Amino acid sequence: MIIEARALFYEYPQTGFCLRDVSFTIAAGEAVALAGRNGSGKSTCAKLLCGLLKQKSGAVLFDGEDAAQWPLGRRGRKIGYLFQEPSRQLFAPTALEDLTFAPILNGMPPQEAGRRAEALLARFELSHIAQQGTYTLSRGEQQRLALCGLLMQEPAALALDEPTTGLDARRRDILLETIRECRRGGTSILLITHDSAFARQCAERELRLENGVLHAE
Amino acid sequence: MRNKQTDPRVVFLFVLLLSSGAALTRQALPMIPLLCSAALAAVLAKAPFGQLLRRLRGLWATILAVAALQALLSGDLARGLLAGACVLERLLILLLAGALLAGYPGHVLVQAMLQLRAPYQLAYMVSLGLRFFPQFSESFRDSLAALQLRGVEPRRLKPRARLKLYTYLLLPTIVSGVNGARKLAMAMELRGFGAYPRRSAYAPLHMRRGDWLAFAGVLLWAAGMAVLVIFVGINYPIG
Ligand SMILES: Nc1ncnc2c1ncn2[C@@H]1O[C@H](COP(=O)(O)OP(=O)(O)OP(=O)(O)O)[C@@H](O)[C@H]1O
Ligand SMILES: [Mg+2]
Repeated sequence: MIIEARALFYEYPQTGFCLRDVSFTIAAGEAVALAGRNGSGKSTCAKLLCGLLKQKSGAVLFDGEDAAQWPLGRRGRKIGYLFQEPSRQLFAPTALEDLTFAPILNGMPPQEAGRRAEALLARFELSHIAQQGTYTLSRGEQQRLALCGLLMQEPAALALDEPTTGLDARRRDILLETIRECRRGGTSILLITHDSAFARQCAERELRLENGVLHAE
Repeated sequence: MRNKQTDPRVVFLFVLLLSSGAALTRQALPMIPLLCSAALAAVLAKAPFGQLLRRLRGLWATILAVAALQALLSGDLARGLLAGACVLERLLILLLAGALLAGYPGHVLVQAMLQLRAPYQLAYMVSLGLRFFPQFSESFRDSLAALQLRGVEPRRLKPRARLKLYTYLLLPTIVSGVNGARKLAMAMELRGFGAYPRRSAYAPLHMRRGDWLAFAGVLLWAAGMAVLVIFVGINYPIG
């Protein structure tokens, strides 16, 4: 899927921080890294793409279609957002249930949901925590579980907000492999990271935010 | 120190009287003078009432629903409507009182509590609470959005599934809130919080002429309300 941000403008009323005139395009199957200092507006940018924040002007287009009027549910099928603070997107009492409840509510047969959830847990080496409470998981486990929750929906794009934080070398490689595989399937990816080595391994292009303004490299 | 706002201690007194008045009054009509005084005070103090209303936007549907429910449940419709109005008025008064206090920075309120001889720990907890509230609501908003992004739209679900969902939704908010508070408490203790019984203050509060005037105004107002109750015969059923 092609993601296009057109002249996005956003201002936080409480702090006055501004994201100004942010425009970029991510092609289908392309991965773009978004870098920048702490507080430069990277997460804000991702939240605008995913509809968590609503831009004051500008537009977000998925495959050329303006998403401004879409309900969040429809956006979620297009783009999965991995929060910088993944504990905020884990809900259910156990890890396995967290993966299955949303698809089941959306009409997926429970058995199929269970099968897919188990396959994802196995791939991220999380099978042993399937029955564990989500809030007792370690930071790195929470992050991978949240990513599994996104992948359950098979979104056409992913926005990953610092997905390598807290991952050890092996989990980092699994993440890298997952990203590559998603890309082969045509998934577009926005990768926010301070880890420039990881960015180079995943993405061929890097955008840089400085104080709310985008600089391409 | 330049300070044009009324001393918060006077405001505390007013808010205390106002909210106990609102809590004790059980009828819509007698509540009106209280509501008017609260509104007048909020205007005079330029309290950020509109801002508070906007922040609580999400609550309005619930509040109106509660008022409507009260109206319906009490059989007799006219009396029911009055009862509903009473609930609304009381909430408005509490909101106005909150707005009066919200106009002060947290540290000034803490200082005021301290000079009223409140224990430091208590005063500090209140100020922390003030700071946690926006964080709490932001975390809740994010979680709700995350849920909707997963394609789950609470409004379109059957009641039972919806209830379960709401309990799901509270989980991340409460967990992050409690964890945040616990970490903060530990960090504060590590830095020696509460190691000494007394604290020095950077900016102690002093009552000025305007403050004494406001104080007198509050006393007069309270006396006026009392007169209204006792002699003019507005029937405040108490208890
Ligand atoms: N909810 C909010 N309300 C007000 N201001 C905010 C809010 N969230 C972020 N900001 C401000 O917006 C700016 C950009 O924040 P953002 O989270 O987008 O930065 P970031 O680039 O993701 O930083 P980091 O690398 O630390 O994750 C910061 O200066 C921050 O203070
Ligand atoms: Mg960020």
